[in-house]
Amino acid sequence: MKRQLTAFIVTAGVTGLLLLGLIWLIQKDAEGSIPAANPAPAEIAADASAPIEPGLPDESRFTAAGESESFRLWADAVTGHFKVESKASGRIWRSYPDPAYWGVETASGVWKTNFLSPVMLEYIDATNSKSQTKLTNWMEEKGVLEGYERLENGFRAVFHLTSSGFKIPVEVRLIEDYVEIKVIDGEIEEGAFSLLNLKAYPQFGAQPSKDKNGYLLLPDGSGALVRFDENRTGDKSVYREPVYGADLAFYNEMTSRNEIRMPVFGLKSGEQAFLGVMTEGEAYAKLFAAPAGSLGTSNWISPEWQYRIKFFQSTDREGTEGFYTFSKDRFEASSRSARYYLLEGEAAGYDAMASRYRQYLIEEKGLARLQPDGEDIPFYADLIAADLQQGVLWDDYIVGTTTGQAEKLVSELKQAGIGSVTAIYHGWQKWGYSSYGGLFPADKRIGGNQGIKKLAEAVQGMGGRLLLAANYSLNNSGRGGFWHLNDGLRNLAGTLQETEAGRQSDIPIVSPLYAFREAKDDLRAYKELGIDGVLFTGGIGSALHTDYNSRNRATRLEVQEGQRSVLHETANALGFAAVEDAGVYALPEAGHIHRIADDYSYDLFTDEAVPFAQIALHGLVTYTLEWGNLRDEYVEEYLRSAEYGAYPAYVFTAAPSERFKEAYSVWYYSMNYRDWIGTASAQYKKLNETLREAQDQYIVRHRELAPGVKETVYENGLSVIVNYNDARYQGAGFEVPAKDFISLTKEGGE
Amino acid sequence: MHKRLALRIASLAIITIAAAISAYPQQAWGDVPYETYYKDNYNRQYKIQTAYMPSAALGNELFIDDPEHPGQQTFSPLNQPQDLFIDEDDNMYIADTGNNRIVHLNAEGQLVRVLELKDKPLNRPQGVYVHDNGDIYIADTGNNRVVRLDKDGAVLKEFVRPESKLIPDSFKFDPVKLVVDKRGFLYIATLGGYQGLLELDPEGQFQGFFGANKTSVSFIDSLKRLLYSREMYEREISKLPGSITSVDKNEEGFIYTVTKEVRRGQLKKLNIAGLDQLAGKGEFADTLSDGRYGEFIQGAKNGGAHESPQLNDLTVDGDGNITVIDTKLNVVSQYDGNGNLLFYWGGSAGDTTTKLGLVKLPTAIASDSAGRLYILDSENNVVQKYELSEFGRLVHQANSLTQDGRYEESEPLWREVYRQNSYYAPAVLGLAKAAYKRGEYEEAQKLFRDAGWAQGYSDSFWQNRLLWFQNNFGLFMNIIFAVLIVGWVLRVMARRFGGRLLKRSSREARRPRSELAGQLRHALYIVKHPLDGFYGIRHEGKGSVLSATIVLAVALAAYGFMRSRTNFIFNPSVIVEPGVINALIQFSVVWLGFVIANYLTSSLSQGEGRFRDVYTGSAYAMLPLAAVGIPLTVLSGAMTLNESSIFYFLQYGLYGWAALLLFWQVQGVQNFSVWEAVKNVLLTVLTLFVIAILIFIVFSLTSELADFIYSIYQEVAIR
Repeated sequence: MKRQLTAFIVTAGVTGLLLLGLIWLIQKDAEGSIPAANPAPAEIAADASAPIEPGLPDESRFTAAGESESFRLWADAVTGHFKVESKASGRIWRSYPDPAYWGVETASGVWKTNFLSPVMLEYIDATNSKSQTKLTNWMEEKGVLEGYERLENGFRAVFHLTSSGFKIPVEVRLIEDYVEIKVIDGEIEEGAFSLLNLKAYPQFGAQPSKDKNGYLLLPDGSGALVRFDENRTGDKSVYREPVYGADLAFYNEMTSRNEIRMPVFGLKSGEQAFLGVMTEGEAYAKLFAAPAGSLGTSNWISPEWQYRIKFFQSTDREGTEGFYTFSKDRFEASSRSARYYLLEGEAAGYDAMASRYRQYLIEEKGLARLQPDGEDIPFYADLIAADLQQGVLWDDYIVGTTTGQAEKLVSELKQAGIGSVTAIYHGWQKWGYSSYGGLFPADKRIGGNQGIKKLAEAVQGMGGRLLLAANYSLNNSGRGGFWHLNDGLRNLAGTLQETEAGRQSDIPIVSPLYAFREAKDDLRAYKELGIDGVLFTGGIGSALHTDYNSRNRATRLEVQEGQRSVLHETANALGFAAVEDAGVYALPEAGHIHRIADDYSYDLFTDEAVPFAQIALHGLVTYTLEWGNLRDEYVEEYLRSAEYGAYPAYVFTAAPSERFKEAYSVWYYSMNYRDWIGTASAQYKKLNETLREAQDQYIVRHRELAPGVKETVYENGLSVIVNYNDARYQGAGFEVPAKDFISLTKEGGE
Repeated sequence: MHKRLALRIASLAIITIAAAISAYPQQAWGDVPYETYYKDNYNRQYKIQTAYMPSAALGNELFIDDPEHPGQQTFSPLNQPQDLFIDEDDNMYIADTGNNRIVHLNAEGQLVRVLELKDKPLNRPQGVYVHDNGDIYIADTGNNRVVRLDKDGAVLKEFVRPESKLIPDSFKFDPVKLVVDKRGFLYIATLGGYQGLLELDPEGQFQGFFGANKTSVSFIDSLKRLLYSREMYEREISKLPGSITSVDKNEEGFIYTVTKEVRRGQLKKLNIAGLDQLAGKGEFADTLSDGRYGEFIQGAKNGGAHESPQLNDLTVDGDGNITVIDTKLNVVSQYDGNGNLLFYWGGSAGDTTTKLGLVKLPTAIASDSAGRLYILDSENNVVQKYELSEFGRLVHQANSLTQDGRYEESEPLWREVYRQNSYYAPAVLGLAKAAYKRGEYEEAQKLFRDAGWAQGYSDSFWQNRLLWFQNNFGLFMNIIFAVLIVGWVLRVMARRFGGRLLKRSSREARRPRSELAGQLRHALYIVKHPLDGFYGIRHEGKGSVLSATIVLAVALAAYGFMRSRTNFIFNPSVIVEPGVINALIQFSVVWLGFVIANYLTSSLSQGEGRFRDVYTGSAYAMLPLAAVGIPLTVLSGAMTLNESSIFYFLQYGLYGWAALLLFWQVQGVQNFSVWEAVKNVLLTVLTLFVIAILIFIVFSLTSELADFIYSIYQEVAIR
């Protein structure tokens, strides 16, 4: 009886305490939210400008706002819209829908004003946990244009959305051959609501599908074209992907698309086109593209600047229950700018866009013409040192290629006629490939540090290079003093981020700042080994994740800068850094991009893959496509490497392939180099013959001669013609056998 | 590595499992939007090259003459189409169920005509079949009829529910899919028609039911049958066999069916007599095949092993390969003509994307004359077309040669497949068979072992072993000879020196070197005199906790050795689950549970044993694991499947002996009579269960409570 009473009292006490705590927390939140929940509508009247009436701008009202050698900028002080006119041809690029086709626009409601408005945005009422995101725009809210002023070669204006209370300052400038649209982050004002994302002049250059040869260019894979068609079938799919890939700290939509590696986009209609390049704050952008018929009758493409992205706030220990919410703070970049390079004439295709982008990379990003290592094109041999598999009591160590075997392997490649071998050694750390973190010293069973040193000397002696592959983004070994609670990547909810890789799960992801420290600390050890450089896999140079771990807090931009500095120091210390599937921000610090995506994401609205990235990069850095022994279509993808000017790469082991059948990570089903040396050498010889003269040459043109027949033309007149068809192709004065390629020089003849 | 070990143990012992938040993006280097796999006969899944490449999306741009504005075209998309048929000239016929029409497209996917039957319109037609002579048969489900049209679309005949005493009254004639054979006989799959396919002659006369599925009877069912009354049992309607979902036929006259609601035999290849040609004919039928068709992707988000396949349709290509689609798991699986798996693939896009090659809701599949596949997507209302990749084509060529028994011709092809993918079991098997046929048994043995095919491995090992014995016959004879001579010499010597040698050694043997050694030697005594031996543990101090722990450790090690080193032909778990830590932990937990439970129960029923005696005794009882287990495991490496009876006899003997020892342990240590011991053992087992349940409840409740409090705190703090 007495015990029951005590139990009752204790229970009542605990419940009471909990309730008190609850009330206190609710009170606390409520107090905090009172000032924020009070918008300031008074300001509207204070401004002199009148509310805007939705509609197309009156083109007669436009005044000249800037001029460059070949273009003229006209601006409208009422709507904030602008147009650019080519002095030579009189062609016009508008920041609003083409008036000639506006009459047939079928969109209605808010989307109609979205198209008319210079600024559209999404926001949420953060004070109410049940509120939904809302899409609005400046014209829909009958906003006012404040502080319109002329700048040198442009203008500046603040779009005030009067009902939602946002003020968006935007600057537009015409500089040489491009228009720059800049959103000034620091001066954005929010009222009661939280800004999620915005698009500035989303309809710039938008065109309905009048020209059947027109297209949108997406940076999907190496580049993909969305050809204009009227889309009468009502497919509503749009393209919306984060630039430089997903951010683990936030919610990522599952689209199974290739990640964006270059912050570019383009649109071509008739003989006019533009190439868009996001130049500032692009790490916080998504690229949004709507083919005709999905949203309105136009094809349009625009950056969508992100200010807040939802994340998962878990409420249970397993991290499975919870809800999505937004952070209080905005992503801050100094500004967000996109340049629209204006192209015209018959040749204003994706190859011209890529050439313009290459020029941008050279002039603004410090890329320089490649200095080839030798006469022969490089051959990349990825060698797997070792991996783990489940063993009887503990994991079994599977040796793939010891340093001694690697030396023999490289010399055999050499004997087979492969002139210049770059060997990339993977899984050399203790316990091999699947044991992440704390890389040094190398595992004794494959030769240890001494073995690698000897291997490096031997490979260099044969005129090749040795790179070590390193993944600093995962750590499941705890080596190097890593403790996932302290040094692991966390999202804003504080949830540790883990991943699956191969047959392993729950592998902690390392805080970027921790990874950078570790990578920089290792540089000295790399240097002692005498190797030629490091290939970064798994993150550095290719993936940006915001980290909310309080010890290593870093924004996406800081992570981007940190990665560049790691690459920079690596290149300085060792002479060379390479990145697997790199984002373009890793250039020029990275001198080689390994395994670039060479296909598109198979969206129904996209029509074909084009080598945009390769046209932009050839002659600046080296790159490869997927490994030659891991292709879906061996012949076709080999032909594609000829078309794309990519150098051959293979993944090899000295051990029989079946030894890795149960390995945790290395799942590649055919790696024994003896099985592939013949194919590799034959393909290398043919590619070398074709591409050796073009190693430092830019690609100037790329086109389709006939269905399944592509031509790539280099600066020096070299032309590579690839025939994917089952029948031979008869061209003007040349012939390409079925499933083969030939090269022509300017003089003609093979 | 010790850390890993410790971690693994900890992860088992502690019930809190940290769920993986797998947000890490899958790196994609530009591949087709689905992944292709192969699963070997141990259900291990391997990623392989894409077998079929997506090539086109057809039928999503249909425009017909606008009935309201003559001369104009209007967009008229498919609406929940349910069937797709491709005729000899690669024309496509789509049963456009939602629009009550049949859509006829040419090979390029352009609209040829629309069949609606103006006089008596179709009502939700779900099946279409085109005969070689051009006649079109439509399963007009909503009108409970099958219509036969000539090639111009004129109605020739209407088939309604046939009149026959053999058809039960409950049979509903809702035709969904059909095929027509050369004679013009119809085989109709009906909705809920568990009797099988309805077979009609060209006049519409009932010919019989064809290819019915069997009911699957589980253990529970047979119990029910035993206990329930007839009326009660008949009310269990779920015991009806599954009704056939779809039907197809090939040139040779085989009729293929798929069925959804069955656990095995989802796919059948029926000959003219209605006998399934796939049952038990697969390569792996002798090992672990479960007769289940329709694969699932391990690690996929939607479903997996728990979901049974829901096969909706199938198609047979010119080589006899059968491809089936699964509506629920969205997986396409392809088998060869004998039911051996070739490949399966699947993938899912996000809700907002529509991709070439990705199907959201597959309802029908067909193949054309060149072996291309067409899958009808009734959610996106499109037909996805696939073409064989280089790898897929190679596998098909090689496999069709193997199926025809032309092993030697197939060998170079399999060798090329093997070069491109050394994990692909059909290639390994193809090479292994060829090697065996050539008499290269060493090679065959290695390849069979790689493929994990026990029978083949065993056969080639048998050959190798025979060869080895033959080659070494002389050596063996010499050894036996030498042993005999040495034995004879020793005997003579012993006699000459008057047994001095023997005496000394026996005296040494009798005097234990230490107490512990004596206690360990007691184990041997137990072998000969179990009851006395266990009695001695309790009353004569013949064993100690230390010696028992040593014996137990040896037994555990032996158990681990058995688990991990027994020949895979007797013990597939060597391949499936190489780690033994889990097994050892399970073993130890059960053993310890038994010791505790036994001590508790016997001390209640006036047993004499102290806890340490029970512990010691039970440890000694595990001796057979070491005494028989280790030699048996070593021996298993030299055995073939022909000697499997010997192996299993010894293995069962081992466990039987250990169980007997445990029983005698109870008897000897507790000083029980036989009957008391039986009672005690039963009680022990019961107690063991109770303890296990209690522990489970306590653990799960505490962790639930902790989770609950944590969530409350989080909800309050964050929201």
